Amino acid sequence: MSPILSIENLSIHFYTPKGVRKAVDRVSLELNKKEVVGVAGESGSGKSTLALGIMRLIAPPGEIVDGKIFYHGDDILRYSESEFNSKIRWKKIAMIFQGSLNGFTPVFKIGEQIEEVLEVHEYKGDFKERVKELLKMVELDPSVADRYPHELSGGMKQRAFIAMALALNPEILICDEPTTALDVITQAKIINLLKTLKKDLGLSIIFITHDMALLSEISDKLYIMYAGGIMESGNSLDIYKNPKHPYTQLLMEAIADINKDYIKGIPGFMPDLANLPSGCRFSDRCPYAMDICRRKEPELKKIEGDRNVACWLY
Amino acid sequence: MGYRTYLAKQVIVYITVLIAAMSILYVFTYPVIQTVLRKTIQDEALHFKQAILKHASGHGTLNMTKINLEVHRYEAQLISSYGLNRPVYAKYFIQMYNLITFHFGNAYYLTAPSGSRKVSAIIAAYLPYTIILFTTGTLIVIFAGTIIGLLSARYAGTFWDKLVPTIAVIHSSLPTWWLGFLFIAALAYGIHAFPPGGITSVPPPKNPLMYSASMLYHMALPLLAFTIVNVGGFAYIIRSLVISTTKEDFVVTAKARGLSDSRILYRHILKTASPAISTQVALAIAGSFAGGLTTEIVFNWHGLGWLTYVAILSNDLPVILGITFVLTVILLLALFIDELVKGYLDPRLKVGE
Amino acid sequence: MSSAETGIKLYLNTVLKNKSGIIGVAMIILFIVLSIYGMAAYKNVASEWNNANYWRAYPKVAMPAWMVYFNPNKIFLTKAFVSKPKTLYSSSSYEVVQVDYKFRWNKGSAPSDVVFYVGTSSPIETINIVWKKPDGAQVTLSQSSPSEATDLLSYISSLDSYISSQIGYVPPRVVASTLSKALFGYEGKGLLNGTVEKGTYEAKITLVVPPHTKVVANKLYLEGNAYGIFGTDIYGRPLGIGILLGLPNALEIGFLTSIISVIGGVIIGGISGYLGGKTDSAINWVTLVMLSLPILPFLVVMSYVMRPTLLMEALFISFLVWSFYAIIARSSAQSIRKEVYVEADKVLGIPSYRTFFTHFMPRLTPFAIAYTALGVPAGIILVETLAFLGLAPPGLITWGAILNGAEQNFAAVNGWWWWILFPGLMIILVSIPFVIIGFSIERGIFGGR
Repeated sequence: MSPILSIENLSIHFYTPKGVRKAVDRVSLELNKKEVVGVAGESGSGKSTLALGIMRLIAPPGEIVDGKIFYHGDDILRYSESEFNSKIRWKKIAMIFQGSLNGFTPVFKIGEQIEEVLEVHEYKGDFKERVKELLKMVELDPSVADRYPHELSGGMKQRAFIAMALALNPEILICDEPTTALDVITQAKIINLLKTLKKDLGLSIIFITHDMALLSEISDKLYIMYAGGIMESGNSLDIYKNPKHPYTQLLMEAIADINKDYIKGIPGFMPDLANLPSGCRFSDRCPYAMDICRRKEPELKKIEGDRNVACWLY
Repeated sequence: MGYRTYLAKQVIVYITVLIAAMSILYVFTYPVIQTVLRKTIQDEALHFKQAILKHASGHGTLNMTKINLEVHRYEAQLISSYGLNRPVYAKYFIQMYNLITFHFGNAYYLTAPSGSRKVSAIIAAYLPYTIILFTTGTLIVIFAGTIIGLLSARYAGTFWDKLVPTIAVIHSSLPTWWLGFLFIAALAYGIHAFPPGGITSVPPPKNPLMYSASMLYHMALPLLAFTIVNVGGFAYIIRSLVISTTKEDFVVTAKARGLSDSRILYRHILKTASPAISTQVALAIAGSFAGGLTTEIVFNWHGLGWLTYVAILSNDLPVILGITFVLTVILLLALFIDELVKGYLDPRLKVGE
Repeated sequence: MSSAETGIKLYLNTVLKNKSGIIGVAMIILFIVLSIYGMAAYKNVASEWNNANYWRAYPKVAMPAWMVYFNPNKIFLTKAFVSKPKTLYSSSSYEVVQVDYKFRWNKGSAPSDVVFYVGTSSPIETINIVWKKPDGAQVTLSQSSPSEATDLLSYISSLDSYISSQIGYVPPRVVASTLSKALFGYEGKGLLNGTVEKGTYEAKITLVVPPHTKVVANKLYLEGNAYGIFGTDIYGRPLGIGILLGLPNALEIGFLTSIISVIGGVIIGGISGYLGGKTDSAINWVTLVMLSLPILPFLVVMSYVMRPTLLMEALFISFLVWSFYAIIARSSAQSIRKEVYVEADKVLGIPSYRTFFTHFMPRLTPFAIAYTALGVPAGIILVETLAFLGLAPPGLITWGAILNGAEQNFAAVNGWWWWILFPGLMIILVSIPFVIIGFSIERGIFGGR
């Protein structure tokens, strides 16, 4: 079965006064039908830029400089802006954003904004009915449609936004840190909702987060990102059980575990994306760094099954 | 429901502001007000006496002692009605009441076209012209400024956009009245393209249509000066507000939803920024007041600004005082209306966030 | 290094790195140098500014001198002639002295005025002038106990009768240039139509003076219609000097009002936004009250009633405008308040006044600098506007007052454009550097492009 979304060598650069920041550097990724792909990494690793890149929402000074994004075999980067807007964006690929983000325009009611999406994308059918249906789907009271965003709690707002994301029955849902800034209970509820929706609607999900513990609950496949590049990818369970890349190992150790009485951080800081170290981008923080690591950049290579690692250790 | 509560709250706030603003003016001009009122009473008493004398001479009975007594009684009555013989706090209440109800006393020298010497009557005669000129000018500035500001925000970084800060510099350094003065010298007396001043041609046309046309023709130059000075600053504000709103989260998510750029700009950004814009409108009105009023002088436009100048030249203190009070009320009214518009535009305000 | 310093340095750097910023700073320095020069060089002139006699010998409403290059036939500078006085008669009770001037006049128009200057050791009793035109026509002007310098308006009775004898009536609104036309035109109905007799003129001045009077100095001025870089006004005052002397006053009041009102506004608005709650509502209400006072009419009343000095005027203006800055400072403070480190300070139990000074004021400083810069032209324009209304602080030379003179003397009708143009241009010119600097800092703060 061919993947419904496949990204090949995508590079997104930001042209800043300090130099070219390679926020996404030659990233490849595959998403199959009804699959949840997790993208994990520290903040600033370029994972949100990747999400915005898929939606083609990179604004100057950023630019998609290279790569292809295939949706059912079509390279959607070659679509014109208007074609992409009318055929793909929100219709096929929808996105939900960080919980702390004010995704809704503050001066319109929730219902109005969902209806606007329906209207813009020429939805056939009764708008009011659809809004009611969508709100029910995300377990919100239909009266929410008549309220303003600021009248809702963080969790309710995120549910409403998910409802808006589902308005046009998209195939793919990109979730960019959807539960950040929400409290733990609300977080769990949102995750459960996403799981249910995935099952009921047959969604394929790209789930982006820095929270490894959260990913373990939901994702089938995992991509570990660091400083704009993919460090390791493979089956979620395998990676959790047996992380190969030193960065993944450290990331796993950083998860708060009830059995541990301490949390180990990763020493050092993420390098400046405009000024990456030569060789492996993780080399200056890596406990196993060797000579070659500082000289030559390791390629992402297959080591077993669907497991890929970019490290000179393997 | 929410809007009504908001409205009630604003009404109360503005009534207190009105009383406070009036009180500040009152405190600063307290001694002057007493003089003006005293002169007004003398003036009224004199009129009263003349009236009695005229009446009495008609009947052939001239009893000066009786007449003087009568006049004295009348004067005493006036003094107590103006509160001049009362302690300061009582005076404050009586005179504030008079001020808020537009009882400013009599002018020293000036008279209204109707012949009345009441300051309120004089002001009432000239006020409409100020309102016509100002309202038109402000509407033009808001309308044109919003369009220019939006366009320059939309095409941020291009030539047109760079022009806006330049116009903003003009706005902050150019006195409206001087520009008007220059226009009169160059465009009215120089090349005779516009009338040099006045409200209509002389004699005023009888036909109401011709009358309005003549008035518009006379308004053209003052409006041009007013617009040139103020439109840039306003456009600059709109541009900054729009650009800063563009950086808000909802703009990215709106784009993600597949909404078009112009839809995002004209519907989402503009509506979100509109409460802030309307605050700026209020500030702009307050700020352009001084320049606009002074412009009336050079254009011989017989509104309150011109009246102020005439009152200064003829040393007519009560008129100057009265104008200040009336303009305070007008400015407050403008701010209040603005507040109502803002409340209508911003759903967040209604819940008192 | 405290963050306040880095803040100020950062914004000073933004200003100085910017090309327009450098121009702005250079202009301000130039203005200050010019102010100092003006105050030093024209110290005495300043006190004589409103003394009409002092300016007698200057051409009235003369164009800028450089206009001569555009039309040398019609536009010219003042010419002065000297001649040796002769004593004609001398007795124990009086002496008669004569001064005889001869000159050629080839210009296409008459001088704007003629001034006879005779400096004597004791007051002149009578003066009698016989004016002879090239074609031999004569006009006699006379006056008793004249001042040292007499212009044509001081002989208005003699000249009015001469004019009416030629054209049959005296035109309304006779000014010096009308009288000059009479002295330089052909006799007859067309005396005042502007045509000028060319050739040699003679002015024979006969003085009756007390005995032993010495004539110290004597001159005949044919006033030009062009003078100085910016021309002169109706009293002959050179606008260049007036504009130069108005500069320090404008700068002083601009700086004073801006500094007082911005500091006041930023502190009040900052405290209000920082504290929030009831204090905020109270201060906000006061701000609203102040904002609703119409600045100009209020200033008019206060200036009219109290005739304040420059410093008082600055205080009045500051009292009326601080609220504008308070509003803006308040909203900035509100957004700073939401930031994490303020919360952190609160959690750590650091007293709020310390947080105010460590976190708030430094953040508001660049903002305050920007508005101080923008406040200077605002203050200047207000004061010039007041002066235009005739309410300048007494004894102060201001551009607004010069423009008020232009308005009252119908400069626009008469086409005296230089009287309107240059003082107003100065208001703009002096504002520009402050506006540029203010805007460039403001853009630095609020991140506009």
